[in-house]
Amino acid sequence: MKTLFRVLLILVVATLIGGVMYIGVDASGSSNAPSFGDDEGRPQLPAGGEFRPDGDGDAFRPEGRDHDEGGLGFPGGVIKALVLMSIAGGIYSVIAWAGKKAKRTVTTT
Amino acid sequence: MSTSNRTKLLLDIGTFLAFLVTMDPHFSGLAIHEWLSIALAGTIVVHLLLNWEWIVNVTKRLFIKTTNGTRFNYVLNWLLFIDGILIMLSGIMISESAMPALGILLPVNSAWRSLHDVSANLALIIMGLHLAMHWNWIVTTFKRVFLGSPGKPAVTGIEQEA
Repeated sequence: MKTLFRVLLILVVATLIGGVMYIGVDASGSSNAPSFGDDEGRPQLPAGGEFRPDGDGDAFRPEGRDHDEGGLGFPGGVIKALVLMSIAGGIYSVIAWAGKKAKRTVTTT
Repeated sequence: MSTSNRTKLLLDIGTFLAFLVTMDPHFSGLAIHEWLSIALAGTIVVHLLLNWEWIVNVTKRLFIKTTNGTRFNYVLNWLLFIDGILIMLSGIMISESAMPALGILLPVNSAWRSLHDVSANLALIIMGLHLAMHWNWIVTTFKRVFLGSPGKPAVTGIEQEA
C-alpha cells in the first residue's frame, strides 16, 4: 500500500511537470506558427489539383528522420554519450577534489 | 552485502546500459529506441522507490541542516527527473513507432523535436554529474557484489559529507 502510494505520488508529480511543459510548448508553438494566406507564399496548385514536388518524379520521399530504420550500426551516439558524461563527471571530480584540498589546507594551518 | 544494495546496483547498471542504447537511435533502430525508453521510465520509478528514504530525509532537512554537497545532489536529482520527463514527453510527441503502434496519433509540432534533442544532450551532462557524485558508492558496491571484496559499507561522497 505504501509502495503504491509512492508510485502514485511519483506519477502525479511527473504528470504535473509534463502538463506544464505541454502547455508551455503548445502555447509557444501555436503563437509562433506562421499563417499562410492564399497569396502569401503558399504554392498554387496546378489546374489538375495535385501537388507534385520537384525531383525525379517517381521516387519522392517525404522529409523525415534520417535514422528511421537503424539497426546495429556504428554506435557513435553511445560513444558521444560516454565522452560527454565523462567530461561532466571529470569536471565535477576536479572541482570536488580541489575543494577538499583547500578545506584540508585551511584546517591544517 | 545487503540485498538492497545489490538490487540497487543491478538495477542501476541495467538502467545505465539501456540509457546508453537509447542515446543512439542509429545504433538500436527507432522502434527499440522508443520502446526501450518507455521501459526506462518504469525502471526510473523503481530507482526512486529504492532510494525513497534518502529523498524523504533530505527533503525534510533541506533548508535546516544539511551540507552543500547534499543540497547540490538533491537539486541535481530534481533536474535529472524534470529533464527525464521532458525527454519522455517530447519523445512521445514525436513518436513514429511506439505511439502509432498503440493507435495514438499525435499532432505534429516541430518544437518537440528540438526539445527532445536539447533535453537528451542536457541529460548526458546531468547524468555524468550524477554518476560522479555517487562514484564511491558505485565502485565499493561493485567490488562487494562482483568481486566479493569485504570492506566498510559503501557510502556516496555526499553521504560521507553529511
